Amino acid sequence: MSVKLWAAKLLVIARNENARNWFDDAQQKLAQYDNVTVLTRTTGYALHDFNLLLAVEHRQDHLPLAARNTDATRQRVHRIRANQVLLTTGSHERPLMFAHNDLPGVMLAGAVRRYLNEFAVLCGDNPVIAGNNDSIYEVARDLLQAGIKATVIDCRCGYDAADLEAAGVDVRQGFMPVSAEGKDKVTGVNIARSTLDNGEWVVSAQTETLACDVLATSGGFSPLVHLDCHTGSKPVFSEQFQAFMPACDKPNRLTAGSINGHCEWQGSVADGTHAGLMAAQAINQADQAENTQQQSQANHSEASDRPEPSSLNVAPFWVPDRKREKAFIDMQNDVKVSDIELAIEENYQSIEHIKRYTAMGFGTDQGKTGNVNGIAVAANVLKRPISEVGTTTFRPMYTPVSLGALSGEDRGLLFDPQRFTPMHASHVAKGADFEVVGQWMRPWYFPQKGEDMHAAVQRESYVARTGLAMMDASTLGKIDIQGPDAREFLNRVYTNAWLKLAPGKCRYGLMCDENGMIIDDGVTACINDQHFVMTTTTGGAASVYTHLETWLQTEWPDLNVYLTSVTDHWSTTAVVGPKARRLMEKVCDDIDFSADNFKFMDWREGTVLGVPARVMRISFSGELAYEINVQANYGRYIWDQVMDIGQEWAITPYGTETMHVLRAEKGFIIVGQDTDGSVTPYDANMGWAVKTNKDYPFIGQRAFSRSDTAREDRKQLVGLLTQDDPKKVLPEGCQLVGESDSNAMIGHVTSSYMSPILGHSIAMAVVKDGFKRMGKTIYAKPLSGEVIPLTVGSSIFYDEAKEKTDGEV
Amino acid sequence: MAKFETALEQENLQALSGDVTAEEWRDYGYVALRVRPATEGVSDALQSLNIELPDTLQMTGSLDSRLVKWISPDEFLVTLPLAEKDDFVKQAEEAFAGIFAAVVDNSGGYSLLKFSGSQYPELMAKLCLYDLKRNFPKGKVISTFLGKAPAILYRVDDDSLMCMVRWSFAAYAWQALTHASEGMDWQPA
Repeated sequence: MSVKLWAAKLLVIARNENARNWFDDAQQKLAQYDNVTVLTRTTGYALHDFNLLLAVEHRQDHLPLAARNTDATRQRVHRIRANQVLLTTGSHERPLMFAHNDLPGVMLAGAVRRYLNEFAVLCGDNPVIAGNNDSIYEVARDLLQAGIKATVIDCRCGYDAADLEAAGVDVRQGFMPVSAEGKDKVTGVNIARSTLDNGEWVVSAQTETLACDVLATSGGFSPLVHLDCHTGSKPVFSEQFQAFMPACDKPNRLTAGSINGHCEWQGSVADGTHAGLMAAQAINQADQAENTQQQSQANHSEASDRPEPSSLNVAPFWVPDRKREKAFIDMQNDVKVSDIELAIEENYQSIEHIKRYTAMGFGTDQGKTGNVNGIAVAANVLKRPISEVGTTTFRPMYTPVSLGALSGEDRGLLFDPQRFTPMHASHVAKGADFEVVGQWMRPWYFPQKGEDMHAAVQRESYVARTGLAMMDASTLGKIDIQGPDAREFLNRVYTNAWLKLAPGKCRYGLMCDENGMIIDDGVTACINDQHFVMTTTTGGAASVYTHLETWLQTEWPDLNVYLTSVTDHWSTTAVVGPKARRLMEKVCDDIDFSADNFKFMDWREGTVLGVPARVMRISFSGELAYEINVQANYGRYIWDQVMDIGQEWAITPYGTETMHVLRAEKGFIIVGQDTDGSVTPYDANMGWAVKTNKDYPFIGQRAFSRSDTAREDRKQLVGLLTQDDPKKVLPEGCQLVGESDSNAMIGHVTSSYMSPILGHSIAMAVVKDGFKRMGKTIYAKPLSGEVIPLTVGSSIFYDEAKEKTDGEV
Repeated sequence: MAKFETALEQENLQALSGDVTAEEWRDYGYVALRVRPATEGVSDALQSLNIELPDTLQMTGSLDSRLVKWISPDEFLVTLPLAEKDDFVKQAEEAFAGIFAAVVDNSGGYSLLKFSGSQYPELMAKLCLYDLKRNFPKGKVISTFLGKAPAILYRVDDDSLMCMVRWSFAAYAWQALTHASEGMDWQPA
């Protein structure tokens, strides 16, 4: 069993060496146990369902800046899933409410005492201590030991303070402070005689002024019920303690110490000891029940020897009734007693409404000091019991937690996982620059010495068109589709026809959402009649898989189809260029690569360099290309070998940027770049990939008949060529207009590159009514202020006749 | 001879040695089996393959032969010695012929890690929300996350933990593990 203690911050405020001894002794004993973790400078800030406790540890904040280790964590959030939680969160002292209680020098009595005992600081030479409970006499005794005779104002009567009076301390019982005197600091306090009549305070009109330089007040103690309330428990008002006590009604949770009303350290220790034993007993019971496969719930109410707290005899709240005098409740947000009265006059009767009307508890202390006083004022004005008024809602976080602590490890490389292909190390060795695509680190381009990105991409693109090149295509999503209804499934999720695709063949598919908008595309290979492997875009793999599973499970449960992600299983080396066949014939001898026997959009099973492989003749460049798919474990081997063997033809690796240039020259779209969720296949001029006479309509088909989708002047994908400067590359995203003097946007540039094979810049764009503008002039208006005339044309810029597909024969 | 590499071959797996030992097990194959257990003919097919489908969150068999792990109600993952993988895939395809089922070789899809040592539970607790200390006995299988990487966890004995992460996430997972181990006062090997 590992026990975590959080917020192990015990303030030894009594001038009693025994408490200090107990604390030191307890620390030493705990340190001897290997299975005990003590987190100091740590505060539990949230307690969630099933005892998930969140705590923030301040690891370095206590150190001077020069002593901090900037490489180490400053704060750390702990997520603790506790079997049993023992809340020993303590209590906060409440101030008294009286006029001008915000003057400097008006302090909590506990603060005066702590300054004295912990820091040897006297807060004043002439203190007045005012309160409604027994604790004020302990403050007076501590001050007396320090040689200071305070004046004690107790609104109650009956406490035996003979020892103090015998020592010369002025003790006034049956008096209430009604206002503080002073301008910039407290100089005196006006007290009035007070009597409790049938639960109501009666305060005399006649007052007496006592001079003082510090006014220490204690209005009772509020247990810190916050954590207990985070899971929905409502605190219960106790007349005995004049406080909201923890309900502690959730399983496997205990409370101990002053949160239960204990006011002496011995009582708190005894209560903690008892609760600790109860927790250990409950854990043992749970372990036994687990062994016998029975459910067990610890019953904390069985405790018969739970120590009863000794009472501080806190008197009921007194609420000043003079509206015009400033008696503060919330010192941070300047909420006064009169503000609560005004809120109720405005008919805000719920304490939640009163809170929001007045902003009570909106400060950084979140009402820890003043809210219970505010509730008492509301109860007094509403003439309801405090228990009926209730509390506002206690929500996490109990204490401020920095965003840095919450983000924790989620920064730098750990913020978003980076995914790597099996060939990554080879790319690094080759000096690739990388870009992130859907979490994948993909080679962007492979610069040679002295090359910038533009030069590298121009070189890579030209080689892919004229010689031999290769690229890592492993990142594409791959989904294994099997089952007797696999064909029908593909027929429904893709816009084109799939029922007759033969084994050994591949087909390009276009996928739409329910609104008929393109969401993905890719090539799917038919392995056999009931088995297909679909490829998706790199960034779309996860969403497409989810999309397909959703339709399969919720709309078409009658289709017998299984989907399995095999993205990581396969690595893909694409061999591209007119000389690709020559290389393939050198690395694989059990496949016939002749153009007649291994046609475009065929795939073959074979052995490449001794590794079982699926070789697909597909192309995203328009050139002859083969994709060698092998189990990921052999991916780097194949890549490196192809690179070595390809040196005979000066093989050139290329990255995603060159891939974009090559595909744009051919007018191939990139989903998410040339489409944006508002482009249909018809908008993309890809009606050839749509078959609308299927027995079962594909996803999105019905949307094509909607008036907006069917209209002919939608934004449509076209090609653009600059009229004046063939080297001018338009900025992607650039605004397009119909007339040079117009600012009315008719579309934007989606892709734009310099084509080395054409010696001309090219651009793809979506343009309103674009198909009807073929051959016409439109204008680009980039942010530079230029007006660039453009000719609208086909988005296929290179080899429209597809004469290059077979490469060198 | 074709060179076979694992996802973490390039990493220094000794980085966590000491009170936590991490090893990557390289010679295993992974075959996804998609089938509804109640489908007619499935029990005969399973019998011919000498495997049993486990109950929810459980596993059957052993790593020495075939370890079948429950992933979802109709998805199971078989881990077996790599040398036997191709034969098993072939046999399984034959055994399930005519039955609505899918046999998918996913051997390149994962990195298999074994964690042991006295402090590995603390390390895992920093990266995995699942209660591995109290709610993860031997024989249990869960699909969860290691940091932000999808992971399949299971135990084959009481003193260690097996962890499968997808190949492409393996380097991230290793970064997360090494980062999480910082400041845990472990002695280097």
